[in-house]
Amino acid sequence: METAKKLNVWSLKNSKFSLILNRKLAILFFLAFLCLGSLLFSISKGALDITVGEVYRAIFIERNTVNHQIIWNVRLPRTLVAGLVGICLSLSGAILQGVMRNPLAAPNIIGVSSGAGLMAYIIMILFPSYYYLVPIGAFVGALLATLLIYLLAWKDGIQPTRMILAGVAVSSFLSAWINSLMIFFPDRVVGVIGFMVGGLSTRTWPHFNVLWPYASLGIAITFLFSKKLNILTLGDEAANNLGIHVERTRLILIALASLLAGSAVSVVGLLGFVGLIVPHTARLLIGSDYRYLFPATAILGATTVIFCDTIARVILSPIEIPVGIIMSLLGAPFFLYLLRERRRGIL
Amino acid sequence: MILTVDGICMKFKEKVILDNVNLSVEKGEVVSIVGPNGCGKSTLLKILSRNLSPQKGNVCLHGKSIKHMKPKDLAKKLAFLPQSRSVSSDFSVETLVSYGRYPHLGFSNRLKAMDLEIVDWAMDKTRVLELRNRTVNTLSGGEAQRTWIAMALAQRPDILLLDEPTTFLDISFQLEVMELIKELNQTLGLTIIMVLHDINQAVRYSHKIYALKNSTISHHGHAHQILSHQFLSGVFNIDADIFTDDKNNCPYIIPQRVKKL
Repeated sequence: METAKKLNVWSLKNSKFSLILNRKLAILFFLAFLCLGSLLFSISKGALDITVGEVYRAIFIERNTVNHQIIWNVRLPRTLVAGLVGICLSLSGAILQGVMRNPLAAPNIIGVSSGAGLMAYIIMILFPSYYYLVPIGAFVGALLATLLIYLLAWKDGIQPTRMILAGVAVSSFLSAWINSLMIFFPDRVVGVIGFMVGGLSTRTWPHFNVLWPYASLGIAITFLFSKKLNILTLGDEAANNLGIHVERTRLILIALASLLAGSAVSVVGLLGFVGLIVPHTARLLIGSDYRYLFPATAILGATTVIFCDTIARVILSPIEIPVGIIMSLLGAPFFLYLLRERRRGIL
Repeated sequence: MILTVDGICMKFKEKVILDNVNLSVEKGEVVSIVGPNGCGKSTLLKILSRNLSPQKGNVCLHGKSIKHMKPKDLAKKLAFLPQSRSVSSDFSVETLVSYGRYPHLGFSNRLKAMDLEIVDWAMDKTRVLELRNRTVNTLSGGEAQRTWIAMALAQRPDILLLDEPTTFLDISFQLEVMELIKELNQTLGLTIIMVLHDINQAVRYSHKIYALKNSTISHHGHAHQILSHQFLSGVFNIDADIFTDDKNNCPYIIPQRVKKL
């Protein structure tokens, strides 16, 4: 009797458990499918429309056609950069929302935007002949700003709220310098605006080659930390009780978020919004368990940036709209829609 | 002695929180720490669980200072259920309980068959097995508390530290949680140290009571013998009548008035 009851509980548990698991895997597959779709869409759409079959031939078979030139030298690298940037920014946001236990956390609160922005401005406005140092400067600026915020917020350990407030203060302090530069050198501002809005035009293989080593390192480490981050969200004391080095883990994760977002920003400029909204959308779709949330966020981030960049290229062709504008215009209503549907219990 | 505390002193800025606190706990005992608000009981529990480190003094587990123990090694011996904690609302009971195995996991962080068995055992002991697939935001206060206790149990600790386990629960859940604590102590021989607000619960469910007043231990002794008019007025500043509960064979109090200082 006892065994029968136990067996029953087991099989019930297993069937239901696998049902939940299957649902999450199905969502991941669906997202991956969407990502692939947006990838093909991005490569085939443009000033010259190319069918999917021709895309395949142009990449793998023909080497000397116009299609090959367009796809290999222009569209493919740009699409890949867009995908990597989307992954980096949204993973960075997902990490920070967990570490700070705050839904409004995004890469800009650890100073990535203001630090990278100020550094880029200093180079572009004060030392324009060194323009090629802008990416590395932006990267260093992002990491320095994060370090500064971390040190300012430190007082027998880091308290998320204090770190967020320090982040807001430091960001507005750095922005003041950015604005001063803009006012004192109005003639040189034009070239810099593109960096502030963030965009992907003319991004090609060299950009991709700069980005992918940092990005893949960051992504790999992020995935290793999914369980630790799950436990960290239980609260400092609970995590400490379970044998987690709370301060050390938090420092590593913040550094990781800064590295991811900094490397993305150094290549495409200050692309906001992805880091805030994509992790939330992924959370609404697949739940808060970081073992599933990280992959979902990464795929959705890549999809979003690739898709929006394609729209930005083609909608008013031959004029290009900065991708950040498209992302806010399409993404914000979509996110609000998800929030409402979720409240009605459909998701 | 499974746990000894020697001369703990703790200051925040200039304010003395704990001054030369000593206590000792034997294996298999239930020990309650009581005292008025702000007397430092929660601080003491945080020191025992190494969430805070004291300026002076030592906490020894099995005769060894916990100061330099590795976090995971400490977590295998000592489980602490803090009062402040949060959990993402869509985590299932089983997922939360399985985190109790974290200190035992290897580098890959994967649960092995034995870990899953222990998770099941912990859920069974705390009677949350039927709730395993429920998400934590759908649980009642009592169910949530039992789930967290299950997580602590899955650590397979020697000692369980509880910070006000019955606060914010209504009376039936309070009874349920206290009975569960008693049962865990009796059937598993688990050593339990808890901070309690309710003096009647402390007396009924513990073997030993330590009372904190003005940053130091003012009284300690056998739970059933510690109650006296002098104890209640000294520690809590109240006049109370003391009766005997024949069914549970322990004293209980009915507070009557606050004493004028």
